[in-house]
Parts: sequence; C-alpha cells; structure tokens
Amino acid sequence: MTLTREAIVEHLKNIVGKERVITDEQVLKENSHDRYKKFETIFGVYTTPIPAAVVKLADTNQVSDVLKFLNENKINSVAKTGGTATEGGLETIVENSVVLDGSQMNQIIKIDETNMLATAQCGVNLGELEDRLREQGFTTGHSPQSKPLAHMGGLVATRSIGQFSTLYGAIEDMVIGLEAVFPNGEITRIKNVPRRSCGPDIRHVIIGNEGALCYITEVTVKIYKYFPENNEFLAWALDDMTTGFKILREVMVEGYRPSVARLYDAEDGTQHSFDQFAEDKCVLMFMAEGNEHLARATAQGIAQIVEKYDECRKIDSRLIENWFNHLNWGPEKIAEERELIRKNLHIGFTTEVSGNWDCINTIYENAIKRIREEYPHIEDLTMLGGHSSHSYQTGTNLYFVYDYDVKDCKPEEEINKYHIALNALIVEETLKAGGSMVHHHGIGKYRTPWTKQEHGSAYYILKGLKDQFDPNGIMNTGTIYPVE
Amino acid sequence: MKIAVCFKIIADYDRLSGKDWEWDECRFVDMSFVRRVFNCFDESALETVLKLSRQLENVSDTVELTALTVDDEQGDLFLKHLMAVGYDHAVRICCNNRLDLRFNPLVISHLISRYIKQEGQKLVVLGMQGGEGDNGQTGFLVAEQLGWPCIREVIDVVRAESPDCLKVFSRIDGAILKQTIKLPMVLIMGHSLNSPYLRVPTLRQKLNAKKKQLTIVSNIELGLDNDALLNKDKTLMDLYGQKPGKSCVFLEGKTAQEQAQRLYDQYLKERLS
Amino acid sequence: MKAALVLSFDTTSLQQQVHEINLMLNNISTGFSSVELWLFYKDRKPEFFPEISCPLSDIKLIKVDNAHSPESYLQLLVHLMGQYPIDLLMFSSDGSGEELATRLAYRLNGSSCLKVEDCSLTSAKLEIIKPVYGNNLTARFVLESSPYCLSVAKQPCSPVKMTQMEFLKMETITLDQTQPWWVKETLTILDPPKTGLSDADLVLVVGQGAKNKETVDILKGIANTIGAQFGASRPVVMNAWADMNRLIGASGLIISPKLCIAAGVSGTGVFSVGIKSSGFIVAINIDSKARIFQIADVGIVGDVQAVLSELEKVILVEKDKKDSSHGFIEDRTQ
Ligand SMILES: Cc1cc2nc3c(=O)[nH]c(=O)nc-3n(C[C@H](O)[C@H](O)[C@H](O)COP(=O)(O)OP(=O)(O)OC[C@H]3O[C@@H](n4cnc5c(N)ncnc54)[C@H](O)[C@@H]3O)c2cc1C
Ligand SMILES: Cc1cc2nc3c(=O)[nH]c(=O)nc-3n(C[C@H](O)[C@H](O)[C@H](O)COP(=O)(O)OP(=O)(O)OC[C@H]3O[C@@H](n4cnc5c(N)ncnc54)[C@H](O)[C@@H]3O)c2cc1C
Repeated sequence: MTLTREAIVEHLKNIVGKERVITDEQVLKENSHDRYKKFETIFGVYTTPIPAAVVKLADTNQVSDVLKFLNENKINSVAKTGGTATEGGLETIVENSVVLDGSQMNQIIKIDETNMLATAQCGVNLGELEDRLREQGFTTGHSPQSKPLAHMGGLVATRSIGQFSTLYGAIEDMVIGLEAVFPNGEITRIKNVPRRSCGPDIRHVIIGNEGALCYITEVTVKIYKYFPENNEFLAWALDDMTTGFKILREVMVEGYRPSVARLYDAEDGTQHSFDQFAEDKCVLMFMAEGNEHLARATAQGIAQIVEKYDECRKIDSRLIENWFNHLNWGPEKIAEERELIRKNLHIGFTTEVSGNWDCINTIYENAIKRIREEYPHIEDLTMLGGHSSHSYQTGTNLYFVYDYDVKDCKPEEEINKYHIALNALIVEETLKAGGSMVHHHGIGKYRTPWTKQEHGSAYYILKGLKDQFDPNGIMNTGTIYPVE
Repeated sequence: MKIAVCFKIIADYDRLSGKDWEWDECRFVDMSFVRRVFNCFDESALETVLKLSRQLENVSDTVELTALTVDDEQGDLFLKHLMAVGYDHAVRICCNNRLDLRFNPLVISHLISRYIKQEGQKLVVLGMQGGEGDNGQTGFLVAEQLGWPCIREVIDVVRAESPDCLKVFSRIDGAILKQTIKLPMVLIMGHSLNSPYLRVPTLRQKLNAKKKQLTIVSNIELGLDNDALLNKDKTLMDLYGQKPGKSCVFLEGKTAQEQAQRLYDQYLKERLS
Repeated sequence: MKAALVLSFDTTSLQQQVHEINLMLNNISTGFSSVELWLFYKDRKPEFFPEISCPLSDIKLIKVDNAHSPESYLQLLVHLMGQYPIDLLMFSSDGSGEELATRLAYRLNGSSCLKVEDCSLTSAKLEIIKPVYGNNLTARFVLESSPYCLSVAKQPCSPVKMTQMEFLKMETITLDQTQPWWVKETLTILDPPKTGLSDADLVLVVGQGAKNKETVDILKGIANTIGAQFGASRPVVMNAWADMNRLIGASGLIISPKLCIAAGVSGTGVFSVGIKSSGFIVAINIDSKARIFQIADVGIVGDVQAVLSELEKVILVEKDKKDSSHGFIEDRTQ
C-alpha cells in the first residue's frame, strides 16, 4: 500500500529526527527542480510535483536507514548535494518524492600527504576542499566552473569535468575510492589503492550514476602538488574552427598536456568580450601548468605548433588570464543571471557533446547549420555559438551555447519552445555523426529519449545495473533511464 | 525627433585586483588586459532612450536615435552593438590618441556640443559619472555650451501630452521631482531602476547592424584643432594608490556557528555593549 | 585670496554639508583674506546658522524664487560675482553643489572640480586632491584659472550644530529672477523619512552575495534583531532587493559606524569608499581573496546567511543573559 504524504513525513521524522525533515512549502518548491527549469521558476511557476519532504542527512547510517525505508515503500528519492545540476537530475517528477540532501555531510575527513589522497564527505564544497588543499600546497586539479557551488557527491554523481581537465583528467580519473549506499540500505566501501586487477573497475558503477543507482556518501580523490606560479597563458586569434580543431588535435597527439586547451568560435567569444581583441575571429587558448620544467616545455612546444599556422595571430596573454580568473560562477553570478532573466526576459542555455577528431567539425557545422535552417524561432535567438574546452588524445568536446529572448509564451512554455527544441537538434546531429550526446552534465531527465541510441547494444549492460541495484525503481526515477 | 545619447566605455574595474593599480611615467594605468564595458550610468541612459523612442514612435513623427562617444577605434565594437539594438546612427568622435582627455570634461563637452549643434538633436542624454577621471561634469558642461536646461540625477523619462515636451523624473534632496519640460534639454541619468541594463540584440539584428556604417568625426572636422584640446583648466600633478590595506585577521572555525561565536566573543561583545 | 561658501539653507543635509566643508577649511583657511557665507533660502529667512570652523567676514542671505531650478541659482551667483568678486567658491557635496560649481565656473571662465577631498595653496596656485578611477586612485591637480569652483567630497555623517550669529555682518539680497519657462509642470513626491543609516553605530551592509530578495529580507530581519541599520551595495538596490536610500558607496552614502559588517560584497573602490572610515570592519565573504578583506579588521570566509544567522543566535542568547541579569527587557527595536 502506498503511504500518504503525511505518513512519509512522519516515518522520516522518526528515522532522522524531526529537525532534519523539512516541509516548508517554499523550500519544497525550490527542491522540485534544478537549473533546467530556471526560467519558469524565476517567475514563480513550478510545474514539477512538489516533493513530500527534504531530508537533511547527517551521516551514512541515516542514508542507509532512509533509503531502506523508501525502498520498502517504493517511494522515489532524489539525491542532492550542491544543487547546481543543469539537466533536470534534481526534478522530483514522481508525486511524493523525497529529496535526500547530503549538503550537511560536509566534513573533510582526511588529507593524506604521503599517499596523495584527500577524503571528503559528499556534502563538501569543492571550493572549500581546494582552498584547504592549496593552503598546504596541493590541488585536486578539479575545477569546474561551478566549483564555488558544487559538492563532491554531485560532482562524482554527474561525471563532472573541470577546466584543467586536459592535464588532470575528469572526475573519473581522480576518484580513488568511494563509499556509497544502495537502495536496500547496503553500505559499500571501495578501498583506496593505486591500481588493481581484481575484476572490473566497480568504481564506474558509482561514478556518474546521477542518483539513479546509489547514494554517494564519501569520496577519496588523488591530489597533486600545486605550482600556480608557473602558469603560463597562450592565446591566438584565427579564422575558423576547422583550423582550431586541427591544432588542438596536433597538440594532443604530440603528447602535450596543457591544463587548459580551449577553442571558441566568434559568436561564443563575443559573450566573453573576446571580440574586443579578436573581432569576428575564433580564439584558441592554452594554459601550461605544473612544475617549472614541464610548464615551460609545454608552453614552448604548443607555441611552436601554433606558429606554423599563418592564420593565427597572437593575443596578449594577460587578456586571457584576466578573463580566466573571473570565469567561475559563485552565488552572485547566479543572482545576476536571475535578475537579467527577470528584467529582460532573456536567457541562455548550453548543450555539451563530444566526438572524435574525425567528426567533431562535422558535428559543429551540422548542428549550427541545422538550427539556423530548421529552428522555427531563430528570430528570437541573440547568440548561437560554441566552444571546445576539454581535449583528449582521441577527440574533444563541444559546448553549444545559445541565448534567446523569450517571446509570446508563458513561463512554463519557454523550455519546450526553446531549449528542448534546440537541444534535440544538437543531440540528433551529434549522434548521427557518431559522437556522444552528453559530455559532462549527465543525461538528467531530458536527454533520456536518446539513452538507448547513445549506448546501442551496450544498453544491455546499463540496463542490467538498474535491474540489479534498483529493482524497485526508487532511485531518481526518469534520470539516465527513460521512464518506460 | 532627434535624440543623442553620449556614452563612455570604461575598463571593468571590478575585474582589477589591488596590485593592478600601477601607472607609467605619464600617469596612465595600463588596463589593456581587462574587458571594457559600458559605464553603468551610460548603459541606463542608452536603454532608457530606447524605451522612450518606442513610446514616441507610437504617437509622433519619426524618432532618430544617435549614440555618440568620444573614443579611439576601441569604441567601434560598442557602437555596432548599439546599432544592433536600435540606434540609427553611431558616431565616434576621434581625437589625437596622444592627448590626455581623462580629466578634461570641458573639451569632451565641447566636442559633443559642437556635434549636436551641427546635427540638430533636441534631446541629449548622458550618464552622471564614471570613467577614469570620475569628473561628473560632462553633462552640465554640454548643457552650458548648448545653452539648454539640464536635469540631473534623472531616473526615468517618458512621453508627455504635448509633442514638444517630455516628462522627466529625477531625484532631488529628499524627494523625486516629476517635471514636464519643453525641449530642447540635456538629461543626466542617475540610478535607474527601470532600465539598469541594455537590451541584447538578436542574431538578425546583429547581422543587419554589420552592414551599417559608423560615423567617424575628427576634432578638426568639428572645428577644434589639437591645441584646443589641451587641458587649460587643470594640470595633473600626481597619482596616489590606496593606502596599504589593513591586516585582516581571519577567523577560523569549522562551522558557521563556531565562526559566529568567535566573532562575537573576541570582537563584537565589547563593541555591542 | 577671498573665499565664499555657497549653500542652501533649505536642504535637509545642510549641517552635514557644512561639516564636509569645515574639513576642507581646516587645511586652507589661513590662506584666505576673508571667508563669506552665501546662503540661499526660499521662504523664511534663516535665523540660525551652521557652525563654520573659520571666522566669517560676512553672511549674504540670498532669496531664491524657484528652489528646483539650477538656472535661478546660477543667475544669482553670476550677478553676485559681478558685484563682489570672489577667488574661491566652495559648494556642497550633493548634486546641486556639483552642478552649480561646474556651471558657474564655466560662465565665469574659472576652473572647477568636484568631489574635492583636500585643497591647499602653494605659491598662489590652488592644488586639490580628488578620487579618480572609480575611487581606486587619488589625483592631485593644480587648477589653472580663478574663480575656482569646488564641490567638496562626501564624508561620513557628523552634522554641525546650528547657532545664532547676531554679531555678524549680514546682508539680505533679493533680485529679480527669470522664471524657468521650459518647465511646464512640477510635482514632487517626497521620499520616505530618513533611515538613520547615515549616523548609526552599527551597520550591516549586504552585497550581491546575498543571492536573492528572499535572503536579503532575512538579512534585514537579522539586522533588526541585532540592532543594526541595513545598507546595500549597488547591485542589491538595482535589483530592487533594497531601497535606493540604502545604497552605500561613491554614488550613495558614505558612512562610518563604530562597527560595520560587510557581507557578500566584493569590495570594489566605489563601494569601499563608503565604509572605509568605519571604526571596525568585519567582512564576510565566501571568497578568501575578495578585495573587501583588504579594508577589513576581521574576516570570515563563509556564507553570508549561514554566518549571520548564527551570529544572530549568539547575540540573542547573550542579550537574554544580560536582560535576565538586569531584570528587565531592553527595547532594541528601532
Ligand atoms: C554555473 C555552472 C557551471 C557549471 N560548470 C560545470 C563544469 O565546468 N563542469 C561540469 O562538469 N559541470 C558543470 N556544471 C554542472 C554541475 O555543476 C555539475 O554537474 C556538478 O557536478 C553538480 O554537483 P552538485 O553538488 O551541485 O550536484 P547536484 O546538483 O546536487 O546533483 C547533481 C546530480 O547528481 C545527483 N547526486 C547529487 N548528490 C548525489 C549523491 N550524493 N549520490 C548520488 N547522486 C547524487 C543528483 O541527483 C543529480 O542528478 C555547472 C553548473 C553550473 C550551474
Ligand atoms: C561610476 C560607478 C559608480 C558606482 N558606484 C557604486 C556605489 O556607490 N556603490 C556600490 O556598491 N557600487 C557602485 N558601483 C558598482 C561597483 O563597481 C560594483 O559593481 C559593486 O559594488 C559590486 O557589488 P557587490 O560587491 O555587491 O557584488 P559583486 O561584485 O558581485 O560581489 C559579490 C561578492 O559576494 C561574494 N559572495 C557570493 N556568494 C556569497 C555567499 N553565499 N556568502 C558570502 N559571500 C558571497 C562573492 O565572493 C563576491 O565577492 C559603481 C560603478 C560605477 C561604474
């Protein structure tokens, strides 16, 4: 028998204590969505069912007890830590869902300088962890734009990536060990070892699960020595993206590992004021980082490659450095964005995909072309562009960026009229060309129509995980896996 | 009606850190590495006039908007942007680059008023302060040179019943003043809650603006030779930086509660009693 | 060198304006051969006068017909300068002072400068100091032509007293003034009463780090319980999270409470000038590198709302303790 909303709240209070169960109407509304529905919610419209409660979890045992209860009663849960999700991962689409808020599990457990490990609870803010590490001369190397806001649990759960990924890798390259709780209450710990050959790497069941398989309670990442004094910025203006991709590839294939390697098209560059020094041009930039010798060699090697291309014109690196230093998003930027949206009915979204070197340019060109030609409300667009910000030996990502004036529609219609339609065109073009439809934000709840196509025959494995670990389907329903 | 809005592009000071405030032997601060932005009061002025022009177009004859800046080529990008959001003319008055106009609102206002006299605008709108010199005088001086009335600290301006008048809201000591004023006039924008930000042009508007021509006018064409641009009003003798910062004591504490308690015990208790 | 102080009797901040002018006079008045007060009034002739820190040679009371029209003041001033030439005129720090200083200097071919923090006479030249580059730097200028028309910089609140000055030479001047024909209709909407922010002992100033209107409202409540006045940075007022009369900084109020808590502000030059001379500054910011910490005595790296909510609790507990030991409840509401 399904429990009533009131009964769910009562049970939860008995498990974790009543001060940890929040039922304030406004808090619940805010917890029914994430940045995917930022437009309608700014105007006070909440179209997603409001959760029954938000539970502020104190420790792993509480996570276990609460999950067991929810599982037994088939109540949907939505895991949450920093709350910066962008793809609907936090939307409580099932009536009477319970939001499992881990933001108060915020202890940095250990910084182990010998083994170069840092262990933190899921609710530790990455910015705080970084500050602590940097005081001691270390860094995680993880630096997503949302660093001031996002927490370790969410960062692992989404397979996030930072701005220095080309050198340090993405979160999956950093996580050494984990603790996670499964819906039946089972607490599992994966130990911290440098490498092993003991069956499949089970960390990958947990990393990137978006709260759809288990709840991450603790994370251990590796740490690096931090040498910011050696950072060197390099930047060039160039005519088109094709050359830019070519250079990025060459840099990667030659074995250089700059921490930053980015390529902006002219449109996207404009919103970063790049047009002030590279009007109508693409901008290619790198940061060489690490110990003195490595940083210098990297910078020199890259410069040598780029300078072979006549089309490239060097840009004052201080411009890029100053820009880069203000790239992160803290709460004040979110506030600024909210007010701009409210006052000007103007909003921006992104869709991030990836592809091998041989198809990335095709994805870029086809997606932009298709939007320009087929998107019915192209007149409302104020910006349509993209950049690549994470490169690999084998390919790179593409971040499509689009802004628009919201015209002639109700707040709740905005997402369908604009973002969903634009996102679909990009995803289709990406899959058609052989790329991947999500590079680092997670599938969330809105790219699920393509999950099967993305994985093809391997969907069998993905599906198996859900059947095995969440047979009752109480873990963030509708996320990663389409609602059948 | 012909309207001109004068604006200035400034380096985004919010993006400079304490150590960036250094100057060369000519007392120029190098800001070539920070992005430039519309001075915030000018941005309000530009948006306010766009809104006003919509109202006027509904009733009166054609409205012709001019955006005007005294700047070097770096201003062009912003002028194009203004063409895209709806300004009909984008004008840059250029002077010899070596001249220091930072602390010379008198000359800036000369250039502006000469242009206005030549083109016959009936309304000139400017922001109230900002820029390197923080002079805060340009608008007043433009009014003096044109011999027009001038309203300062304007917060909004809207259409009036009579086509040769405008309703102007401005802040004065202890009140908001709402006046119906006969054109011509100079308005100096203060903090405008109605129009804090300039609108964003659509792709189509940007594309169309690319085809339009900017107007570049030199001081010579306006009848002011380089000698007339010298600062005969005041001479800059020296610049000074901020006094060295205090040595801030950071309060440690694992939780906000610990921090707050420590703050209270160590510093606030005695001061709050 | 002859000097005159030009002020309006009817402005609400006359006593504060005189304080600001007094600060300037302290350094320079010995260089003056005479100092006059030129005081505009509207309806009733002034009987009390603000205390000016140097001896006055003369007071001229000037009747102005249309108090809202700068042109009226300017005509009067031009006329007076023709009759009684003065070398240096000091104007108030408000918009009116700035406008009159600028336009009068223009009409009389003199030099003018606004927001003057200091001035001195060196070998018969007038040197002034004023902020430039968004209050990040200060510049020293020599002004080239007299009459020099200066408007002084805003200073923290410290209004002077009003007194009677019967023994002084006093002249009343009434002149015909042309009506501003371009003004067809005027209406004034009075501001809400003054907040008490400018001279409060304890002020909480909040910046954009407060994130949204809801949090700002909570923070206003906290300010109220801890007995603090509430101030805000420009984005906060521009977002309409707080009233315009709460704005702190170069284009708002300059305050110097005994204790100032600056929370969620980044501390740019134009903001910091507004609180810099506070007795003690506590800064709260999540970014340990924020510039606000450079002018703070004590810093907390943390979330505005979290820290302030906890502080409110601590203060309430302490107040309770005190109240119960005193046996009465103190009324701290304002
Ligand atoms: C301004 C901005 C910039 C961004 N920049 C980047 C970037 O540079 N790189 C990048 O990768 N992403 C970026 N993102 C996306 C977002 O910050 C990341 O996805 C981040 O990892 C989310 O972390 P969080 O703590 O906020 O998680 P939440 O938003 O709380 O949750 C994210 C997802 O993870 C699940 N989840 C949360 N906690 C747990 C847990 N303990 N166990 C299991 N599942 C959990 C949630 O159910 C949800 O599906 C950005 C977002 C914003 C708003
Ligand atoms: C001519 C001119 C005049 C101006 N006059 C004024 C003026 O008089 N007064 C004025 O204020 N501004 C003025 N400005 C604007 C000024 O340049 C700055 O933009 C403004 O002061 C910034 O306000 P802020 O510090 O609130 O916001 P931001 O610069 O956005 O800073 C927000 C701060 O909050 C911190 N933060 C974010 N989240 C949290 C959190 N959860 N907890 C704690 N901290 C957090 C961030 O780290 C950041 O440091 C003027 C500008 C110009 C051009």
